[in-house]
Amino acid sequence: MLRARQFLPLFLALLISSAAYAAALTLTSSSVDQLGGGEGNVNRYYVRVLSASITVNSNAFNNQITGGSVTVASTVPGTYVVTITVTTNAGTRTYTTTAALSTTPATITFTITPLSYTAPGVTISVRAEPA
Amino acid sequence: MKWIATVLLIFSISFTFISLIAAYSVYMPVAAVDPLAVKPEMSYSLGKNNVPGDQNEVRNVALSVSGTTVTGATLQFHKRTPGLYGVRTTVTLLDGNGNTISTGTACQFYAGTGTRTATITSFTPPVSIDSVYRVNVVIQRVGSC
Repeated sequence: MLRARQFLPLFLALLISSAAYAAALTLTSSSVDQLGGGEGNVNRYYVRVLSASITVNSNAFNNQITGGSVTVASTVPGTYVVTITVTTNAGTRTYTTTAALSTTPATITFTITPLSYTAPGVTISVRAEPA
Repeated sequence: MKWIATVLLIFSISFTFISLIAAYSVYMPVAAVDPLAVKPEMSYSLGKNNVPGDQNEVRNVALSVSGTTVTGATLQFHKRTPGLYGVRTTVTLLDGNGNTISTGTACQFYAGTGTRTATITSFTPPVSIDSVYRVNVVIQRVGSC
């Protein structure tokens, strides 16, 4: 027959393992809660483009767009790959750069191969993705 | 029987380590995950006219925000067609589905040619910049404001 003192280490080991597992699960659960709560405020980002500007090579009607600038912010600070796409009826130009964005707007100046500024106008798209 | 207790003890200790490894292995720091894009892109459309008596073009536009609410806009356009006439400026804010969610308008008389500034002081209804996916800027020559 086993005596009680022989089972004491076994009971202690089971008790410790149960406590450790429970503690680990508690920590994991709290981390998941933080992740779920944080996604709304920390991990989900909105790009805010507050201004867009173009520069042209002349004031003639048949002028060309040679570049411009945009003011960009992101709700989640970090380093982003910013892609600026300029489109008119004459074609499309793309400019890509890496920028540190935060809630404070940052100005990004870009240059492109000249693109005819035709009617009815130009579309400037700004896309930012985590670097 | 003593060997049974020894085996159980070894098993318990092993179970402890396995439990710890299994439990902690699901933990992933938030900082290790890239931000999730909700609105990764915005676009601006700047108008250029090509009708008799109106060949003006927009050069830039800047939105004013208070907190996250869009409160106004300032734009510059090149007044190419000479003369004194009214120019109505309309800035339309669109959502991700292309629906208009807010509009701001200004109208003023301008003379001569060159770069001119128009200021829109309010948008109706007020919207958050985070709801705006596209900004359309249109200028139009008008007979009266």
